[in-house]
Amino acid sequence: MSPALPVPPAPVSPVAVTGMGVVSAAGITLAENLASLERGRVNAAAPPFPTAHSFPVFRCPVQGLCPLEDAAAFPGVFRAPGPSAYTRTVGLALTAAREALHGAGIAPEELPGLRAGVVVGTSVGASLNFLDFYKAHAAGQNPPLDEIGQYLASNPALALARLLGCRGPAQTVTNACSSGADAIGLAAFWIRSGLCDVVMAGGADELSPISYAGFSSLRLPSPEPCRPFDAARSGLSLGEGAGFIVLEGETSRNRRAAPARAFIAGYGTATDAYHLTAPHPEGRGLAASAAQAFAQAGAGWGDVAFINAHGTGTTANDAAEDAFFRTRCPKTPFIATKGSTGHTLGAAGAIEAIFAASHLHTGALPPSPGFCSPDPAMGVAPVKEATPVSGRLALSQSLAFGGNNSVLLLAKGEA
Amino acid sequence: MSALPPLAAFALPRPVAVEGLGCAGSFGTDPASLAAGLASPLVSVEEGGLAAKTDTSSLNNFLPARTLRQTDHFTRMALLAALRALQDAGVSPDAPGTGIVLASGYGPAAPTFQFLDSLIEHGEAMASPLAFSHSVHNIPAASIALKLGIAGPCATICQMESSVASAFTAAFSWLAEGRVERVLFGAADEHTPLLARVSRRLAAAGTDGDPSGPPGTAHSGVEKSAAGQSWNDFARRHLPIGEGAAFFCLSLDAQRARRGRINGAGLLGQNPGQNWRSGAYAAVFPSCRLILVSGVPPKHAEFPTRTGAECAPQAGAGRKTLCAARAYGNIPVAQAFDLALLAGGAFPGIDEAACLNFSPQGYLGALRFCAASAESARPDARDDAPGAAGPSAPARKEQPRASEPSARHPAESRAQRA
Repeated sequence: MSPALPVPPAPVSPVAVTGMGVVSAAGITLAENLASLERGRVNAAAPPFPTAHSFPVFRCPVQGLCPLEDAAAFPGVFRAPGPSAYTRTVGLALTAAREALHGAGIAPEELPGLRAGVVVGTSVGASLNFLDFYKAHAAGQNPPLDEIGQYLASNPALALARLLGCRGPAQTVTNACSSGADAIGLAAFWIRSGLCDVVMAGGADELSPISYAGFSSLRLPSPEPCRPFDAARSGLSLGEGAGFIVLEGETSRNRRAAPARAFIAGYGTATDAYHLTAPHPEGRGLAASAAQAFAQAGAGWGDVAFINAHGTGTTANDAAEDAFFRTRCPKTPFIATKGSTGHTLGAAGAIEAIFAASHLHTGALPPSPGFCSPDPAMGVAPVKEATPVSGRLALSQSLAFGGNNSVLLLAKGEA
Repeated sequence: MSALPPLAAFALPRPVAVEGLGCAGSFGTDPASLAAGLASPLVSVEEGGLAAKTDTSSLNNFLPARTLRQTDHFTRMALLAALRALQDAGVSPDAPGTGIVLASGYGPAAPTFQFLDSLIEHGEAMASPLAFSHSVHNIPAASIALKLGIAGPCATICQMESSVASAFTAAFSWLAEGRVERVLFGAADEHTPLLARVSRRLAAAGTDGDPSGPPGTAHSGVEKSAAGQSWNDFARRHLPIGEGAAFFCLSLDAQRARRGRINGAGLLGQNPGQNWRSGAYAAVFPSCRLILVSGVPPKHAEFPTRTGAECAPQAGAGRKTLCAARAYGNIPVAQAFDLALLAGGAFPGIDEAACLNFSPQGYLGALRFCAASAESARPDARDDAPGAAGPSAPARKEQPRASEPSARHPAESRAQRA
C-alpha cells in the first residue's frame, strides 16, 4: 500500500527576496556564476586533498576559508596563523550572505537593530567530521581540542548569526541535499508569521574528504565531470559553495523602499517513504511536494516558465526526475546546472533557487552545462542552448538522501 | 548587557496540542521511568548509569525484525519513541497528514565514527557505505518515515543545545500552514565513548578557563559564582553524557490535548537572557510555577538551581526552578526531555511551566507548557473530548494499556502478523 499523501497547504502571500548572493566553483559572486553558466563552463578540478580516487570535484576558486575582501572585519574567521576558529563552510556562507545583504541595501550594522533571523541548510557543515582529531584519538593519543572547538563554533546558522549580529531565531536544517531549499521554505514562514523582519536564508557546504570518501563508497561519483541527463552520464561530481537570499517582510521593505528581486511564492516538501538512498522511480514524493508548492502559490503548471532540475547526473536521480517531467510537465523547459557548480549538497537547493530567480528575471535559460546528447531511455531532455522562457513562475526542485523532496516556486520580482 | 526578552517574544498564535508522548533512554522506555530518574542517585559512566545503552528491544513489539535489520542505535531510539508517541495519541502510523521533525544536537554520532573507523582502518576503497549513509543527519527521521509509511514533510534540525526550540518552530510552521494535521516532533542524541571523553575534557578546560577556545563556546572561559561554583555546574558538569529520544505527537486540535498544550515558544540569540537575576523569569513567565532549565546559563544569570531529588516532590509548592538533567544526563536535546517530564505528569499540581534552554552559543530557547489537567478545567475544554482527561487524571488509569490486546497499536499488530 502506498503511503498517504500529505495535505495541500492553504494559499499564502508571496515573500519578497530583496537580496541574493552565490559563491561556488563557477565564481565568487552571483554575477560570476551566471556568466559562467552562460558560457557553459565546466568548472571541475582535481580534489584538493589526498585521495585514492580520481573523481573530479568543483571547488570554489579561493585558497583560504572564503574570498571576502573585507576579511579584517571578521578576524575570527580568518585567524592566522594557526587553526581557524570557523570552518570553510561558515566562510562560504558568510561570503554569500554578505553579497545578499549588500544587494538588499542592508548595511551589516543595521542587522542587530532588526528582528533578523538566520536559516541555513547544510550537510557537511553539521557533521562530526573532525578527522585529524579522530585519527589521533584512535591511535590512543590525547589530541588538542582545536578541531572540536572549531566544530562547536561553526554550526552554520549559529555562526552566521553571530558573525552578522542577527539577534533573532537561528536554524540549521540538515535535510541532506534538499537542505538549502528547505531552509528557504521554512524561513518564508518566519516572515509570513511576523516572527522576523528579515531572514538570511540559504545553504552552505564545503568539500570534505570524508563526504568524498562516503559518496565514493556508495559508487556515486563520476570519473568525468558530471553530465546531468546526458546519455553518457556516469554519476555525480561533488562541489562546494553557498547561496543566500534576504527574505524581507512588507513592512520592512516598504520602510526602506526596497524592491523585490524575486518572490517565494510557494514551498512544498514531502518524503518518498520508499528507500533511504534512492529516489522513488516515478518521483512520488516530488509530485507531492510540487502539489504543495502550487497550492501555496495558488498556481498551476500553466504558470511555470521553466524548471531548475536537481539533475545530479546519477542514473537513479535523473530517471526519477525524467519520470516526473514526462507525466506532469512534458512541454516545460528545464535546466540542470550542476555541470557548472558540481553537487554542493546542502547548498544546492539555495544556489539553484537563486539561479532560477535570476533566469526568470532575464527571461532566458543558458545551456545546461555538460549536457550534449539526450538519453534515448528518457522522455525529456534539459535545454541544450540558450532558450527564451516566459511565464510568471520558476520551479526549483531538490531531491535528497532519505527520500526528501522539496520544491520552491519563485515569482518574478520588481527589479 | 541585553534586556530581558518580553513575554511577547515567546507568543504562539495558536496553542499546540500534545496528543501523545513517547520516550526512550538510559532511564527506560516510558515517561514514568524518566520521572523516576529525578529522585534517583547519579551513577557514573563507569558504573553504567545514565550512559547505559538504551534498551530498544521493545521495538520488536511494533515492527517485524526484517524491518529493523541494519537499523542503527540512534534511529532505533528515535523510532521507538516515535511509535510510543503515536500509540499514546491513539494515532495510526500511516494516518494521512503526518509530518516528522527531529531535533538533534550532534546527529547520529556512532555511525559517523564507524565510518571514520572504516576509513582509517581499511582506506577509502573499503570504507563502509552503510555507515556513511547512516551518518547523514536526516537518515533517522527518514527511516521513521520509511518504516512507518509516513509520506509527509520530514525535517531534521541540528544545532546542538538550541535544536529543540528551533525544531519546534518548524513543526509549528507546518501545522499553521495546514501542510500537516499532526507532527511527530522529537529529539534524539546518542552516547559514544568519544563524545563522553571530549565532554569531560571540555568541562575541565572550561573550569580552567582555557584561553585557546573559540569565542562563544562553553570552554572559552567560565566565570564562577560567588560561592565559587562553576556555572557549568548548572546542568552539565559531573553528569555523564546521556542518550535517548523523546517524541511528541502534536496538532492544533485543542480537543486532543490529552497530554497538555505548548502555549508559548521562541528562540532568541545574542544572549537575550544575560540580564536575568534570581526570580526575574517571573516577569517573563508570570503564570509558570515551575521553570525547568537546561544548557549553560548566561554568565550573569542567577538561578536557584536544585537537583531533581530536592525539588520533584515539592514542585507544587510555590515557584521553583529546577535542572532535571539527573533524570536523563548531559544531553544537548535536554529541553525535549524537560518537556517530556511535564507532559508525562512528573510534576502533579503544576498547571503551567516553562522549559528554558541556554545554549553555549548564546541562544535562549523557551517552550511554555500548560498541563492537560489545567486545560480540562478551562470552560472552553470539552469534558467529552477524546482523551480529555490528562495523564495524571484518575480516568486515564482505567484506559487499556499497551500490553492489553485491545490497546494494541496498528504497527504492533503488523509485527505480530509478520
